[in-house]
Amino acid sequence: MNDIELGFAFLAAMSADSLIAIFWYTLLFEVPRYILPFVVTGLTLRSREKDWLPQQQDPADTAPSVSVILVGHNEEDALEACVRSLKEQSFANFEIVVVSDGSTDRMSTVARSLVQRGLADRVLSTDLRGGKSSGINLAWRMAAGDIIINVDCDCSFDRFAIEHLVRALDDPRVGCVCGDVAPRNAGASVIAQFQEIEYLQSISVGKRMSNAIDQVVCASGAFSAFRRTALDDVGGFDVGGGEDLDITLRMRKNGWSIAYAPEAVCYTDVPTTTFQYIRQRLRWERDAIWIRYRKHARWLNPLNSSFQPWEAFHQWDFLLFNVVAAFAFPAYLIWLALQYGSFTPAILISMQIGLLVLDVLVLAVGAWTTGRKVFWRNLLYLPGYSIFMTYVMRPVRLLAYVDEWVFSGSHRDNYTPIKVRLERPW
Amino acid sequence: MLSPTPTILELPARPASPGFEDAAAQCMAHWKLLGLTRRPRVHWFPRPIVPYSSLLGSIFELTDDSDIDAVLFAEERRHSPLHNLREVIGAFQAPIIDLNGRAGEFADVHFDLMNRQTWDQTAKRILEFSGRRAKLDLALRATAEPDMQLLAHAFVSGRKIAATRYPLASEAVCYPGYWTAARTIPAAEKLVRRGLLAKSFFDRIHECRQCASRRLTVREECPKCRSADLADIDLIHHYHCASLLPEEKFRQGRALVCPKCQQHLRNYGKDYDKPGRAQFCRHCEETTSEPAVGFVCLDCDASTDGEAIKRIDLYSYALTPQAEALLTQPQKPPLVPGLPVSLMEELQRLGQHQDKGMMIAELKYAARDTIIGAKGEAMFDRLRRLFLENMANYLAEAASLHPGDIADYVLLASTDDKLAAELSTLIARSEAALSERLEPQLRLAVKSAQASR
Repeated sequence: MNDIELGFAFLAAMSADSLIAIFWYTLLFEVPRYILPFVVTGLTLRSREKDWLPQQQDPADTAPSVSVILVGHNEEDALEACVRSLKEQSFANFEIVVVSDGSTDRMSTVARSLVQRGLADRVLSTDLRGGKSSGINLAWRMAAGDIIINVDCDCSFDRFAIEHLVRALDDPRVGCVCGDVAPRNAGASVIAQFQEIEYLQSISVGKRMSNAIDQVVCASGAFSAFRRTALDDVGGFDVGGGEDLDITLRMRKNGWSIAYAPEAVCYTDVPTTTFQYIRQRLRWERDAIWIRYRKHARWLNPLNSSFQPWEAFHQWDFLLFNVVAAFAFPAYLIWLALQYGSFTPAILISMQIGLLVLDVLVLAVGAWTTGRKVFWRNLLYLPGYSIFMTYVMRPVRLLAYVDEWVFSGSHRDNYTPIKVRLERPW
Repeated sequence: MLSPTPTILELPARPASPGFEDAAAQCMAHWKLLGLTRRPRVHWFPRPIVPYSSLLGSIFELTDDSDIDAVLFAEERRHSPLHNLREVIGAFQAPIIDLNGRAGEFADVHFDLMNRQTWDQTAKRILEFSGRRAKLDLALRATAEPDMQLLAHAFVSGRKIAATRYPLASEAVCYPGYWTAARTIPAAEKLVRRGLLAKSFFDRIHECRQCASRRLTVREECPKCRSADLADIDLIHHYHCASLLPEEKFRQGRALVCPKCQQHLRNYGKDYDKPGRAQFCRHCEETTSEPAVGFVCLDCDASTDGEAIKRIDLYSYALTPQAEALLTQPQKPPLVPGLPVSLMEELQRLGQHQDKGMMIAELKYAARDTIIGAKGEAMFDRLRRLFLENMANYLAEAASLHPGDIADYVLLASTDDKLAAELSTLIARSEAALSERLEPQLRLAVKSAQASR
C-alpha cells in the first residue's frame, strides 16, 4: 500500500469525532456559511414560473420616471449593443443618459449617433477621465428620473429586467435594488465557465439568501436601481473602486433597505483568461478590505456611536468567513502536514471529494432554484472549479488582503485615475 | 421685381454739355475702328432715363424692333435684386450694357462714356454677341423652347452658366447673365440629361422643407426643447468625494465649495479639475455635452432638425462639344423636342449609310416619381445611370444608348425579332442589380427596310 492508500485506510478507521477534528476547516468555514444556507435558500426561495412574467398592468401607466445611466471609458464597441438591449425592454418609459468618461476612442461619437437616431436621450462627455464614481454622479444629477438605474456598458438584459427592478422599488423603504448578473460569455473559456458556476452560487442563489435576511450589502455596479431620494440622502457615489459596495453600505447605514430582484437578469462579459480573472478579483478583494475595514471600520466597534448590530453582523461575517478563512487555510495545511505527515495528501483528496459532492448539490439546487439549464453543462467543470477555488483563489484572496492591509494596494489600482486615487481618503 | 416700361420719364431734358458731345463723337470713331460701323440698335431697360437717353442718343439707336444689338440697363432703384435681370429683360442673344455700373456680373458689360476703356469692352461684347448670333440657326434664334433658349444664350454670350451665392433671393443661388435659379436649373438639368451641358459641382446647401427657402440659420440647439438659448458651463470634478457637477453648483462667492462634502476646493489639479464642458439650456434647464444641430428658416420661421433638413446639390454648367456642334453645324439633324440629340444624329447617320431597318426602344420609368419623392432626384439619377450602364454592358455593340430627359432610348441597328424579344430580359437583368426598382416601361418602334410601322 502506498501513502495515499494508507491515508484513506486511516481515515476510514477514524471515529466521527476524529473526522471532525481533521476536517475542522471545511466544517467551520465552508459548511455553515455556504453549503447549508445555500441549499436551504435554494430549496425555499425558488423562482416560480409566474414570477418571470410581468404584471398584466401596463407598467408605463403606473411607473415612476426612470433614467438609465451608462457610464463608460472607451466603450465604443459595447455601447450600442447595450443601448439596443435596453430598447428591447418590456418597459420602455425611461430615458437613457450616456456619460463618456474621458474616452479617447469614439465612444462620444457613437453616443451622439445613438441620440440622433432616437436610441438614447442625452450624452455627457468629459475630456479628462475622472473614474466611474464621478461619471455616475454627473449622470444621476443630470438625469430626470426619480429612479436611477446604473448599468455597465458591456451588459445586455432580460426582456423584463428593468420592469422587475423598478417594481422592487414600490416599497418606499427600499433605497436600492440590485438585479441578478450572469455571464454572457460563459462558453468562451474554462475560466469563464467557472464564473458561471460562481455567479450562480454567489449572486443568483447567494443574494436570495441575503435578501431573505436583509443582508444584501452590495448592489452590483453592473445592474442596480437607486431611488433618487436615497442617492440624495447619501450624497451619491464616493470615490471608487468598490463604489457599488460602498454606496450600498452607506444606504443601509442611513436606514434604507436594499432589495434583490432575482428575476431582473443582466448578462455581462466576464474575464476569459486566468490572469484577467485573478486581476479582477484582487481588485475586488482589496476594495472590500479598504471600504469595510478602513473607511467603515468604526461600524465594527460597539462603543462607536454609529454602531448598528445588523451592520456589524455583515462586517464580522466577511471578516470571519473571507478574511480569517483565507489566513486560516495555509495554517490548516501546515497543521495537517505537521500532524498527519504522509497522510496529508489523502486527507486533502478526501476533503476535495467531499467539497465536490457538496458543489454538485449546490449546483443542482442553484439550477433548480433559478430555473436555468445550467446543471449539465457545468457538471463536468465542477472538479476543476472546486480545485481552482480552493488552491488558486484562496491564496489570491489572501494575497489581496495582505496587500491591502500592509501596502494599501488599492491605491495602486488603475481602475480609478491616479489623480483621484492619490487624493482618496481612507 | 423689375418691370419694363416703355415710357420715357417726363423730365426736362438738359442740353448735353460740350464735353459729352466730344466724347460721344470720339467713341463712335473708336467703335468704327473696332468694326462697329453703325450705331448699335438698343432697347432701354427699364425705361429711357434722362439725361442718359439724350446723352447717349448719338451713340445708340433706340428702336422698337426685336432685332437689337444690346439692352441698355440704367436702374434707378439702386437696391432691387438683380438675379432676375435677364429673366425680366427677356431679350436673349443681346448683351446687357450696364450704364450705372452697379449691375456687375449680372450685366454683360459696363459702359461709361467718360471712361475710354469701357468703349472697347462694350464694342467687343456687342460684336462677340452678334458674331456668335450669326452662327446660330434661325430656328434656334427664335426658339420658344426654354431649354434651347438657355442653350442658345449660353452659346451667344460665351458665358458659363456659373452658380454664385446670392442671399437676396430665397434660392440663395443665382446664375448671373441667365434666368433665376428656379428657372435655370430645371432647364439646365434637362440639357445635361440630353448631353448638351456638362455640370460641375458648386456647393451643397440646405433647404427648408416648408417653404423651400435656402436662407436658413444654423445653430446649436438643446436636443430636448430645441431652444438655442444654451450656455457653456464648466464641469468641476472634486477628487475627494467624486462630485462632478457644473461649476455654478460649487460657487459660493469667490470660493469653490463642494456641495456634497462641503470642502473648499483650493488647489486645481490636486483637489479638483475641470474635465470638460457642457451646454446648459436656459429654457428647459437640461444639460448636455452634445447639443443638436438645427436650422431655422429666415423666410417662414420653420425649425428643422439637422438630420431632417433637405440637402440640395448645386452645379454650374458649361456647353459640351456636342452642344457646340449642334448649335454651329450647318448640317444638323432635325431637332425633335424631348428626343436626345445623339439619337437624332445617330438616326441621321444610319439613314445615310444603312439600308436595313432599325428599332428604337423607348424606356420610361414608372417608379420615377415614387423614388424622387422618397429618396430625392439625385438617387433616381444614380439608379438610372447604373441601369443604363448595365444595359450598355449587356447590349455591347448590338445597340446604342441615348439618355433623354423623360425617357431613355435604345437604338438597335437591326429588326431581328429575336433581339427584340431578348430586350425585355435584358431590361429585367439590368434592373435586378439595382437597390430600388425603376420599373422601366418599354415601347418599341420598328422601321423596316421598306416601310415603317
